[in-house]
Order: sequence, then C-alpha cells, then structure tokens
Amino acid sequence: MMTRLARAAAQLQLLEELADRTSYVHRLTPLAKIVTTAAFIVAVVSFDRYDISGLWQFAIYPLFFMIVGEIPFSILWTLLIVALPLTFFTGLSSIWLNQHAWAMIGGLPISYGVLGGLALMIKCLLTVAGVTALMATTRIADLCNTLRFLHVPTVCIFQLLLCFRYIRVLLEEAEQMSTAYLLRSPAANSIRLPDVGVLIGQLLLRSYGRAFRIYTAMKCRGFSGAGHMGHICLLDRRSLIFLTAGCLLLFVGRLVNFSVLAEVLIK
Amino acid sequence: MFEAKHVSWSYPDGYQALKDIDLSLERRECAGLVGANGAGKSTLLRLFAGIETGSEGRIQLDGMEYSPKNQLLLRRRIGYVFQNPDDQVFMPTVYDDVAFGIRNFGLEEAQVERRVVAVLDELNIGGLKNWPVHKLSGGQKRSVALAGVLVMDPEIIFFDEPTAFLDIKGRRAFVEIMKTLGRTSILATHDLELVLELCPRVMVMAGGRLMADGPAKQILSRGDFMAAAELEVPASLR
Repeated sequence: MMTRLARAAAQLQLLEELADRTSYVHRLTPLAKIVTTAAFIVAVVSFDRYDISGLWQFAIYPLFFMIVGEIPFSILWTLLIVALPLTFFTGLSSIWLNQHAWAMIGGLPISYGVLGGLALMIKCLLTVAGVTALMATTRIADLCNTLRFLHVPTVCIFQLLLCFRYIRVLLEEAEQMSTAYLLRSPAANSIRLPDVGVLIGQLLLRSYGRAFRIYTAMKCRGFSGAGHMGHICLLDRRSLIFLTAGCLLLFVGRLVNFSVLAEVLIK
Repeated sequence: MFEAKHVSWSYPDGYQALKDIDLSLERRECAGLVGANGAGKSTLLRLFAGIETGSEGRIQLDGMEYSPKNQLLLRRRIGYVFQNPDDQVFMPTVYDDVAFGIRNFGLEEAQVERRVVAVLDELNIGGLKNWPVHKLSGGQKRSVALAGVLVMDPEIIFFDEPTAFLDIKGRRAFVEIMKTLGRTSILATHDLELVLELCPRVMVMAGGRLMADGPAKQILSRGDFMAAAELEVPASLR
C-alpha cells in the first residue's frame, strides 16, 4: 500500500517535471496542443463501435509526442492501469450483450461483442495516451491560462488546478496514515478490511479540513470566484503550422483507412 | 492604528473561545501573542483577520469598523500568514502564487509583474520565481507564503505560528526577514525566543482571556505568572 501510494506521488511529480522540458513539442503553445488533442479525441471516439482497423493509425499522434518529447512510456502505463480496468469490464459486458458472430478465426468464433470490447479498449488507450502526451508536454499553469482563454468556466479550471496541486499532498497524507497504521500493526502486511473504512473516513475528514483552509487562504487574498491568471502566448508560427498540419492529418486519418488502402494497393 | 474593544466570540455550539479582549497596536508595532494550546490565540487572530465574524465588541483598523459590508475592503488592508504554508501556497508556480492576490484586486499584468518581482527580491527569493511550488523546501514555502501576503501591501499582518515546520536555517531566515519588514504585525506563536527576538511587546492569553500585555522581557521572565498561564520562562531569561 505504502509503496503504491509513494509510486503514484512520484509519477505525478514526474509528469510535472516532464512538462518543464524544452523539446519541439514542449515549445508548442498550449492552445495548439489543446485544440489538436481535442480534435484527436473527437476523431478517435467518432469511429464506429466495431471499427478496429481504422483506429490503429491514430497511435501515431501520441507516439509522435512521446518520441519527440522523450516521454517515458512508463508514465502512460501508470495512467492506463487506472483507466483500463474500468474499460475492460465495460468491454466484458459488451461481449455478454452482443454474441452475434462476426467472423471465424482459426475455427474460433469471434462475436461482435468481442470486437466492440476490443475497440473500446483501443479507444481508451489512445485517448489516455493523447491526454498524457498533452499533460507531459504542457505546464499546468499554461494549460489553465489557455483554458481560461477558451472560456472554460473558472470553477472548472480551479478544480483542475487544485486537484493537480493537492492530489500529491493527499497521497502523502494517505501514505503517512497507512505507515502509522502498519507500524502499530506488526502482524499485518496491509490494512485490514474492517479498518479500511475508518482510514478512508479519516482521510476524507482531513481532505475536507485542508480544502476549507485553502479556500480561506484564497478568500484572504481577495478570491471571489472569478480567477485571474495572467497572460500567455496563444499561437506562434511554429504552433500554427503544427495545429494546421495536425488537424489536417487527423481529418485525413478519419476519412481514409490506411490499412485497408494498403491492402487494396498490395492486391 | 488597530484597536479591539471588549471583544468576545463563541463557537456555534456555544463554547466561548474569547472573553472581553481589549488591545490596541500602534503603526509598525510588532507584538507577540503567546499562550498554551486552546488559549484562543488562533481564534483571536482569525477574528482579527476577518476570517471569523460575529463577535461581540468592536474591532477597528485605522478607523474602519469590522463589519460584513467592509469585509472586502478590509481584506485589501489585512495580511494573514497561515500556520501551514501548504494551505496557502496553492498555485502551480511561485510567480503565479505570489501574483494571486493582486490579480484578484484587478491590477494590470505589467503592474503585477513589477510588484511580484520586487517582493521576491525583497525576500531574497527572486531565483525561485518560476519554480513549481511542489519543489520548494519548507522554509522556501514559508517565504513564498509571506511574499504572497506582502505583495498585497497590507497595513497589518497576522502570523499564525510562523516558525512551525521550519528548521534552524529556515527559522533564522524568517527572523532576518521580519527584522527588516517594518510592518504592524501580531505573531501568534509557542516560540517564546522568537517573541523575545522580534517583538518588544507580548500579549499572554489563557482560557480565552488576555492575561497580560506589556514589555516582552518583563512579562516572559515572571516564573509564577508564566506557570499560571501554562507556559515556561524562555531559556534565555532563566
């Protein structure tokens, strides 16, 4: 428990440290990256629920960010561990609900449900990878400033900002609590099930207390709900080229299935 | 400059935390507020900072009465430094955090930058300007929290346990900053040596009452009185 929490906190720190780098993708303006990532997500989720072949080509987008921005794949894996199980179980229900045969592969019937479940997991993988690429190449302050420019409600921006800032503090508190618990429970390897509820309750109370103190601190410095966050460069030449080319390629990728095209050309 | 007359305050459950407090501060005066745990120091400070409301009696800052209609105006004139800087330093970078208050007051960005840079330089933390706040040490966070308050140019600053979470070096840095600050301030603390070093005047609280108010050395050296207030005479005065 302790190691997992510490690892999660370290990964969050890594995400922020990665955002401070200065590669080509890091130097693009947040606006260009946000718009392109949004276009990427829309393109990915707009595919038919059984269409797998057209999805693969979209892996190029996060791969480009990961390679050019030198982002370790381990960070993507950490976030996928959180997101994939949920999608996996949703995919399982799809298998159970739709058992019509789609094809026979090696004598094994593949149902539409399996296909749908697989498509769902690929979509999850791609969208998480896209958002990870964005977060690992953009500082949270710049991201929030740009969201403000895009007229995202201030309350949502502050939620994002404070979540990002305090999730690590919360993880540290959770780790301290679990350490204190384990030090007084020499026979236990982990937190016993009956005590989990009590510890989670305590953590919630602590979180509430901290949230209240932070809000008080904000009010003491004149916060009244309307956030002010300074100015930011929205688009430069490099970012404009990236934005135009990126959106164009995503549009083409959505219209043309390159794996099918390649198959036709080979035949 | 700052005055509190017959101030009493109770929690919503009826527990009376402050009883008939009378005190006043002159401009640029620095006073220590000491007392055992539960004596009412933090509550008094929160009331003076305008965080808690609904007290009996009268509180005034330069003639401006504490009342709900004056609350926003008072916030511009009062600074409050929290015990735990993690509660106060919440923006992603040092610059953004220090700028938070004055941006809320609607200052132009050029003016914001000028004031933030000036206050960071004043506290010798100009090099931290673009640092993410999670990378700061406890002492650095404390300085950033103070910068976030100083940048608003408050007339009076209340410090709640300013040396909590600080190591020897951080504490020394804080003392040096305070010596050059020259602001009207009240320091609520358990650190009696800090009071002796920074505050010519001390106020001692016990059971929600102000038990003594006067020269720090004189009051803190009275063994019987200090024991009655559940405190100890600081080592340097023994």
